[in-house]
Amino acid sequence: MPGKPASISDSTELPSIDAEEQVARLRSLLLGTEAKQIIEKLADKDQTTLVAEVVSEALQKRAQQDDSLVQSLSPLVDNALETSIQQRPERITNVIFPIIGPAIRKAVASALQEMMETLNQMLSVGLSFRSWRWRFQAWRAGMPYGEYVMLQTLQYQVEQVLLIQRSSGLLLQHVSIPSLDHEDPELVSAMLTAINDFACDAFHKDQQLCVDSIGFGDYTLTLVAGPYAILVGAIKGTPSAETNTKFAEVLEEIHLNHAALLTDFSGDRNELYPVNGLLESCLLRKTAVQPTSGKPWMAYGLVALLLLGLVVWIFFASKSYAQQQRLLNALARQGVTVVEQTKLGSSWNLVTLRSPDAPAPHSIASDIDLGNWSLFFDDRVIPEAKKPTPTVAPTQLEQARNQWQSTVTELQAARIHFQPASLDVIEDDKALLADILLKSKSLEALAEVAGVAYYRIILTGFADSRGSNSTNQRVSRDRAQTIHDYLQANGVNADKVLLWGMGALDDAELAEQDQRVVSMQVFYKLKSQQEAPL
Amino acid sequence: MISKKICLIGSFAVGKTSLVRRFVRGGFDEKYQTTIGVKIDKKEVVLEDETLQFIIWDLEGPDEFAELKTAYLRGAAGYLLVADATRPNTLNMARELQKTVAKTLDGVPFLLLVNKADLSAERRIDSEQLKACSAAGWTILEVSAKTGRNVEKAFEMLGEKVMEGIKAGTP
Repeated sequence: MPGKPASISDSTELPSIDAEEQVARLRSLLLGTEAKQIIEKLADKDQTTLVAEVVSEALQKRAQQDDSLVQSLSPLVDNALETSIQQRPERITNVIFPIIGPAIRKAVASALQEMMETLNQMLSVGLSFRSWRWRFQAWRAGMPYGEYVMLQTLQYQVEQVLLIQRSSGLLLQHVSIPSLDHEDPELVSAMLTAINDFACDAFHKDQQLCVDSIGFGDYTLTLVAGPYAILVGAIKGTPSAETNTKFAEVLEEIHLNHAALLTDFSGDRNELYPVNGLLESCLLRKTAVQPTSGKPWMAYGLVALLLLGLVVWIFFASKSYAQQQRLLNALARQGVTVVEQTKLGSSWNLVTLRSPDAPAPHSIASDIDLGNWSLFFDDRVIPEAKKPTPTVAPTQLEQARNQWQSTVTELQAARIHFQPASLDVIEDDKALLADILLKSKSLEALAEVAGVAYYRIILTGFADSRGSNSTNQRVSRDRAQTIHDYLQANGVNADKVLLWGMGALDDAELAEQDQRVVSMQVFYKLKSQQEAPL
Repeated sequence: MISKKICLIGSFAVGKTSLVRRFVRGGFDEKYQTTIGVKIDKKEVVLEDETLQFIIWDLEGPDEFAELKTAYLRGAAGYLLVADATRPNTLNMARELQKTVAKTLDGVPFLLLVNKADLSAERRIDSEQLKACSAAGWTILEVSAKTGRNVEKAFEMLGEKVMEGIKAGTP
């Protein structure tokens, strides 16, 4: 490159050259022979292409420097992913399908395996001789079985862990097992610090930690101290050296990796969140009864046992059913009907019905193999129809009563017809009237021999419906009175005859001439056998 | 939320526990029960731009038989010195205690609370006596655990002083 740009001085000397040419000359002087190529190259590419050439390297370089790139891109990636899922969910589904399928299968298999292991453990605890012994002992101790099992099987369980700032007693972090109903850990940590301070003060011990454990009931608080923090584990059961070692290891790691957080603790517990994982690793649990490893043979055994039991039950049930059917068929063939049957355990009660000539059900059953069934029959025999007893000669009283009954029936069947609108008996019924007179008179004599204590002949008169009601009423009564007078006049005791007029007998089914009648009814009462004449 | 330990210090029966009870539970009990060792409570104080959680150590009041247990003071972010308005010697004791506390908690903010301000007829500490404390730069507040007068305010003021310390880089 020339030491002094000649073009500048030239431009002042050659004013006739236009501006464009001057720029071209200056470019030539600055860039030399490559100017044309560079300009052409730049002209061919737009800005996007230029950025594209370097963007990957630039991002990589920036990512190595700090995490600002991640922080800048995170919201963009989040939004892009969310938008993509909302707009084209099927694409995301297709993409993750190869992952999610095996994941689900693995989760299901894991759950099944866990279930079998749980069942196996439950069976080993629930069905063994030891479990029954524990049940008895729990019953004797008056405590729930579950609690007793816990006491027997749980060696220890670290239920909660507190990390406490050594200098202030402030709680740095706290973790606990799920569903633990714990006291306020902040107050607990302060109080533990106070207790420790008190112990150190009281016994003049110039130590970081004067109290290394506190026991109460089933619980033990184990304290492990570091330069800046105390780790406290609340342990149910009997703690082992394993727990202390674990606590010490975790506390050392916290001091090693997070010492600054411990010393410069501002009071905001969120700052100590990174130590949570370490503290959770202290939530140890050890049971005296370790779950069996490998395949859950006990569970498989139980399932096989249940299946075997089912097969055996089906075999015996079908055999028993066949035996019952054989008996029922045999009874039916022999003419014995089973009207009711009940089963109670191996007892089979049958209520049978049979004719006297059919064989007894016991004898039928004795020929059949009924296994373990104990049969009880309620054998009911249908009695034979009674044959008619031979006739014997009726007694005198019976004969008299039969005659009385016969006469009464004939009198009550009689209807004395009258002429229309008249109290005269029709010609055809005059012979009937005479017959009625004889029968009425005979009643008095028959009553004596038939043992009739009381009787009355009631005459009821009727009229047709031609006249008015009052006329019909009067006529019907007068007709009854006519018969009454006739009977009385011919020797029938008037005290034994009553009469009654019923008015019109308005019955469409009766012919009009049959409505003009007087009928008779005999009321009587028989004496008892003792009172009646022999 | 930021947790901070504070202490209540003062002669016996000046009303430290009653002040805490008034502040934490909003009640008062005429019956006096001496504190043995330390009693711990907690309460949140909502300040202008921050919420502080005070872990309050109510220390046993020293007397002729027992000294202040300075071990309990370690790590405190502030403290309340309490005197009894009806007993002038409790103010003297508060001054002495402050000197003792300062050896452990140098530069830590504190307030002097003159309790039992409701007992005006029996008051034995006058403004002249308090002037000496004011002159030393102490913040003094007349309070009453019985009526609740200035109790919340006292804790809030201490909270603000603690926050100032945090912002100044002396947590």
